[in-house]
Amino acid sequence: MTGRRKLHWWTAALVAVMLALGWIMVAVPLALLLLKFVLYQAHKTIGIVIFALTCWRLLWRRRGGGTGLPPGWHGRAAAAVHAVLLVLLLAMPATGFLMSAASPSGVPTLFLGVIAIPHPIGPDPALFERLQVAHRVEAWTMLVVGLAHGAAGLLARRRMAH
Amino acid sequence: MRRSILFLCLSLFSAPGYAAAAGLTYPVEPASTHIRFVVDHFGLFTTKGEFTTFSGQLFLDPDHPETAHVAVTVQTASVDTFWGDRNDLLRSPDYFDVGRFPTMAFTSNVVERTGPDTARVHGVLTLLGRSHDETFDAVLTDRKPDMAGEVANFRVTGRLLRSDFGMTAGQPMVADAVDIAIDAHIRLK
Repeated sequence: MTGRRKLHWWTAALVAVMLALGWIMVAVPLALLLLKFVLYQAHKTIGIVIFALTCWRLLWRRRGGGTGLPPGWHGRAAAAVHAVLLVLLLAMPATGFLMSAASPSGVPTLFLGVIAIPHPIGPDPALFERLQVAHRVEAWTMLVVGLAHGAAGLLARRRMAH
Repeated sequence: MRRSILFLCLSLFSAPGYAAAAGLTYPVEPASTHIRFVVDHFGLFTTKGEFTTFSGQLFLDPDHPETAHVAVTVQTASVDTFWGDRNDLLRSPDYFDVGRFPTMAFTSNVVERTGPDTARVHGVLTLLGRSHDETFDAVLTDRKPDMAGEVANFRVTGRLLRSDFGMTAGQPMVADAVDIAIDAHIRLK
């Protein structure tokens, strides 16, 4: 597998884990403090990794090489979907991080559970609620567009096989 | 002058511990006092909070702190950690169990003077139906005249173990030791 492909599949796997983790960690009751804390910090850590991987991919992309997309509407639709996914891969960690910072809980962002990433803003319940809505909308968009991207990939593959 | 003679006469008939004290009783109330606490989480971060509803009395002679006596009752449901979900958790039966134990109380037994501006307050804290001896360190941080008379600021600090009161929920995520810091601002009469 080429480096580019590896990066793609790593990102896909991490995003799948993140969506599941995100929904589970929110559902865990606060009374299970340690479990909730560990799940949140895992989510934050993976978010930071995804952000870094996506930056790397974008740099890679700039270095050249065609997109390999077919001409016509298929190609244009695929390009649009890719753009949306790339934006989400950067925006979701960003809103998540700001959400953590604005949260009234005051829990830090700890990469790998120990390295504190300084929060640029302090607790702000009103901002937190708005970011929470944004993060949720992004998550659903990621799920739907991600599934569409996967389905399109499978279809393209089948067509190429024929 | 007349007032101090009157006070001296009254003092002769009052409790022996207070016989020579020219002290007065001051209310302990949220307007002049802040009761805050900090608890650690694995050394990674802390949670800060405060109690916003309490009442009590402080008998104090600023020149003879060893004669001081304090009794405070705190409404446990007034716990505030600046996050509603966490406050609800703290009020639940696992923590302060505010339904069964709506108050906690501290009463001092002995106040020992440890320096010109410092004292150690020994007393009993009753929480969740259990009483335990606790010690707090008091510092007179400021005593100065102001436009209306004289004011004194105190800082009282101490550390207690919540397990002494049977509150063990959340361990080890929530440390057993809780640091208490009480700031009081008193207008001396």
